[in-house]
Amino acid sequence: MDFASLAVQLNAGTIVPEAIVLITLMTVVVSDLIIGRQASAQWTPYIAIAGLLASVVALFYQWDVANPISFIGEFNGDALSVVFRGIIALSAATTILMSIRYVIQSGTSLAEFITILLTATLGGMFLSGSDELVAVYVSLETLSISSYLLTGYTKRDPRSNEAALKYLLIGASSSAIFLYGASLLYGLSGGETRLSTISASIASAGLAQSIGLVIALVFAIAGIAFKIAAVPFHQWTPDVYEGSPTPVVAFLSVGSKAAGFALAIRLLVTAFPLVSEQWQLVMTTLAILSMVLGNVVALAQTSMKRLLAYSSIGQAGFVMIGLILGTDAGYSSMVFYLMVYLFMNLGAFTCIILFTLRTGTDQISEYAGLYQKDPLLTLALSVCLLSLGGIPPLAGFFGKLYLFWAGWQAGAYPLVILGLVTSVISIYYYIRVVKMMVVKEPQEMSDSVKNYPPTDWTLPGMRPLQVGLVSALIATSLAGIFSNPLFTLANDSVLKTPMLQQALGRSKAPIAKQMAPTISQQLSLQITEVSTKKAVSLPKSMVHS
Amino acid sequence: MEFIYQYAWLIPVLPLAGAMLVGLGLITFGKDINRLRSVNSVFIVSLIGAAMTFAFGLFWSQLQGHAPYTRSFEWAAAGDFHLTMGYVIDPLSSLMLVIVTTVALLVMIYTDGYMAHDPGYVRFYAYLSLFSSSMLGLVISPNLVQVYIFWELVGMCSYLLIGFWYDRKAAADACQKAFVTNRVGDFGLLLGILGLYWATRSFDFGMIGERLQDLVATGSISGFLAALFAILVFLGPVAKSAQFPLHVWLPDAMEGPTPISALIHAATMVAAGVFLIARMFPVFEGIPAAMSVIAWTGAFTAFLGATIAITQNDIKKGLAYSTMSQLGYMVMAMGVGAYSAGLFHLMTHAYFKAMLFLGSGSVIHGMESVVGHDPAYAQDMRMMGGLRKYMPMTAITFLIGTLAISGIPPFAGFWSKDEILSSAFAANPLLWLIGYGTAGVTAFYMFRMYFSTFEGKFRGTDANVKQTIRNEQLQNMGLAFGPGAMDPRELTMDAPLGETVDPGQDEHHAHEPHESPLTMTLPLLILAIPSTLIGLVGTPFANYFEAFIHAPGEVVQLASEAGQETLSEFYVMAGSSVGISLIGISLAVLMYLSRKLDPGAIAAKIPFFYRLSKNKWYFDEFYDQFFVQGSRRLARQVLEVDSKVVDGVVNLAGLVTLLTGEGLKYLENGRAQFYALIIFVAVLGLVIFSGVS
Repeated sequence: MDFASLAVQLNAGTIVPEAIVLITLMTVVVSDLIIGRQASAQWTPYIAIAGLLASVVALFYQWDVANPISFIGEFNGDALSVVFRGIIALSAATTILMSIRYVIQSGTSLAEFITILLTATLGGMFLSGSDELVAVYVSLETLSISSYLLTGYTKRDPRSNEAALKYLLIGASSSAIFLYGASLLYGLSGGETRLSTISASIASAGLAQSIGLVIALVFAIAGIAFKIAAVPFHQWTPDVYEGSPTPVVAFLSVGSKAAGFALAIRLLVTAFPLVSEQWQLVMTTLAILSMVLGNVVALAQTSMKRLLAYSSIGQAGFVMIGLILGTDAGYSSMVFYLMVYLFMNLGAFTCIILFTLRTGTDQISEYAGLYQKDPLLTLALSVCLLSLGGIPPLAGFFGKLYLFWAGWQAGAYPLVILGLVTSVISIYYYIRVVKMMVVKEPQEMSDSVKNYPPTDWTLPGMRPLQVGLVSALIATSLAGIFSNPLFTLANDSVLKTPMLQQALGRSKAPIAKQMAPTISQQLSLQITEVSTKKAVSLPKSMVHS
Repeated sequence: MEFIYQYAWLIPVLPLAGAMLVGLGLITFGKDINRLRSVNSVFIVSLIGAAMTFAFGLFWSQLQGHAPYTRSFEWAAAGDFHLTMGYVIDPLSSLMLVIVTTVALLVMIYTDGYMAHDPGYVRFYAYLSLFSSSMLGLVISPNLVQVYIFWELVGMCSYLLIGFWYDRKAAADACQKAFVTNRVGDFGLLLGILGLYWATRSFDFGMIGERLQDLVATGSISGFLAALFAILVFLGPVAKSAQFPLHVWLPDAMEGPTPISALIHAATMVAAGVFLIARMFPVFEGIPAAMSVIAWTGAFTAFLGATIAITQNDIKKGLAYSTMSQLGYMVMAMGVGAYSAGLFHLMTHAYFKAMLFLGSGSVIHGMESVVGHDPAYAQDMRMMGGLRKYMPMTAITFLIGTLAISGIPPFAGFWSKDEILSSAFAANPLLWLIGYGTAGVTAFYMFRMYFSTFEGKFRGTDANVKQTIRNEQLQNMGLAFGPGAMDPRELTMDAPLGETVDPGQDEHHAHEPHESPLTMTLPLLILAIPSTLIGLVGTPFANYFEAFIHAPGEVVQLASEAGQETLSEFYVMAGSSVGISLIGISLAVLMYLSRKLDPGAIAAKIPFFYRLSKNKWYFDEFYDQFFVQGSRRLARQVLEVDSKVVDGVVNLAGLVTLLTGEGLKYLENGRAQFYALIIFVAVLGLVIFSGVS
């Protein structure tokens, strides 16, 4: 048996994107070793970005693949996984853009950073498609362990060390719990590890109502909730976010989280259909807690990174609404929101990195009067924060609108109302920062802003930062208004995924396909209506807060 | 001739273009444009002149029996809903075009003299032109939607022009009052339009009437609903034509410059209400309830206006109440089905009332040179008297107008008023009686006005009279101080009455009024011609007017062919109404010319009626108490609810979230063991939670 026929037999074509990332990773490591640290810093990041973009292109060709199951059921490259892998790869690419200057300024090796980041990306991408318990666990650990390393990357900074240690400890605990849950599943199903066959085996063994299954479910959810930082498994988030290098935080809050959601959908939908009521109940609890606690505690934060940490907890709560609904619109709104979230959250982090690089602080009060000194940064940060708050016509507004609309259609009224209320709360703390930057008079300027040096874009690593900033700004401003392609992508990814269609009942599939365009039309109509209305009333609310 | 029909849309567009050009010029190069006074005024006057020429051409063609011409295009369509715009030229609209353009042209010429010293001269012309355009657009509208659009536009122009001297508080208040009062009526009109559309699926006047008849006949909608819609539509004219109970804005609107009072608040815009009733006649005709509401509203307004006008000392206010009263006649005529009579009176009234107003403006202009630029003195008839010596042309034309409005043959008002009265008699003798009595009162107050202004001796330099007026004013102000809302007038209490406080200014004043310049007297003289003669087109001997303008579907024959019977009836009616007018005039002569009777003594004998009339039947006070104060109270209570309850809830929510945030923050104590503990506790809790449920 030669390699080619083996590859065909294993259907190895589905992991071409991951292979590209892996090759990029190896190239970076090897070339760094050969050329040396100083020289390689000039171009390794660009190799990495090119590799990640190539991987996204490869994913594009995976979209319509006929047989997504590969490696004898280990990996499932269906449309849903393609979207999630794309999100993770893009978030990694953006993270590299913003990290170049940061890592150079912190005086550590860039190539190693990129290597670890690419490893984490690889883990996340595999996690999005893993269809078997062992593969899930291995890729989860790949992602986690690289994340711990990234967290502690600035090793001379004690806060970074502390964060890494905490992350490791809590991560290990939750990982252990997850593993225990997985082993329970293995036992209950009589030795099955493939997600798709587990539930059938459990049902045939007559254990559908057993408490063991519920325990397995809760344990698995604990592992997932740790990754997506859902309350009450969120405790590590603020500490880790505050201590870690900011680009790492950006990746953790977007890429790692997206991987967590991919795992959540796949595991819960395929392995736990027997206890779907229970898992929806548990996830609802987590969603409510996340929305409330994340948004409420964010109000009291004084550090920008901690603010974004809590806000990302709240955002995860919003995304979970889509997961709980169990409808086409629910899943696709979730995917849509994650795509939008990618732009706006990474944009916000880019701005924070830039500000920290210029002033060395991330206290919110230090942003006072920034508008006078750096209008571009102020604009970009304001747009991203307002988008996170869901102010029309920015991308975040449309994301939230779709989520809440899907929730309302599915009859989850209390969740949607809670989501709306907590969104309003979130607008307060986002706008507080915007107000701090824009409204303050020159004499109220903070010391950091007073000493704000003029921005020199020619320094090494500044240009990519600028590119990242501007593209995030453009995407956040326009993705909402021109949301149709993203929208179609999100809808198609759900409609083309057999796993979800199976879970939603096969008969639904053709109807859903017909409905999709009408839904999108309706929504875009509503969007234009609401955006005009809200746009008018916006200044008032800004003044009040 | 066909081409003038095709280009008839130019009539409203020409003045609009003028207004736009001058307006844009004012916005961009304010100072320079303001200096080019004569260029601007000549430009705008020539545009309206061109429009007038067009209008006469159309009128002539209609008179020759040209078929009505309608042109429309689709403006908006959604599904099976089509909204068309366009214009219609029929006898009614061609007549209205002629009235509006001629009065507008004369008023614009007059304005040159009247506003010569005003810094807002150019702006005034721009507004005038805009108003003319809107009014012309209104009269050629082929459907209710377009009527509504132009209806609002003329309302807006009226608002702008009443408040033209916006730095005078009285003017600013008056324009707001006019606007708000008109909103009430316009709201009714809009509801009515929508209701009628809902019922008949049409905005076209004729079609609405036809379909409404069918619907009521087949029982698809109840007669009550049809009457309700008709009355709602009628609310529009009630506000615009200053009918009871929405008449209160018209007298206050006299705060605007006098040319405006003549053009908008006497001749054209206020007549728009009557015009709309005429347009909607096919609808109203079939609904007896609506017709009687219209008739009685008109009759009551006619009486109300006349009784108030008796005691007014302000010359313009007096004329305003007489306008209201005359509009009441027209509305009453519409209500009793006398379509042509109402429109005939509209036409004659437009000319003689415009002339009277312009005459009053001329008087005020003359008085201002003696008493200063203060409306309180310059417009008060107690300061006037004997002006005929100084202003002969104004006096003669004013006398003609007075005779016309009093219904003395052969002046214009006689013929039209008499036609209305005889139609009213045929419909309901009680209505006739009200109209008849009002005619007598009208003659009395108009001659009172004429005598106290132009006859006797000049009182403009009499310090006693001045002091009386001043005291009265202060008293009025004191009365106006209500409790509650802050009144900015309190601040000006110490230095009231505007420019007269400057003592140095008085010394420059002449001791005698002077005749107005030619630009002002010429329009008066020109208007005197139709005021005298135009009634002759509608005599009962040969009613050319009715032959030209009659309700749709009505067949009219010239009265001369109708036989002797109606003519003898006419003599009885005409004789009696001339009789009562003469009685009114004689009373006025006795009281104000020869001073045989003392008006003060009569007023003292019937104090209740005197005060009722003097205080305008207490409508303003009643509305103030009931609507203004009432809605303020309501607003204040809602504000209380908002600031206490709603804000409280919002603040509480904010406080709770902030406190929760601050509190929960301490769950993050940085200890990893504690975090792990929370994870395990959470897992345990969730297992129990999901296992139990």
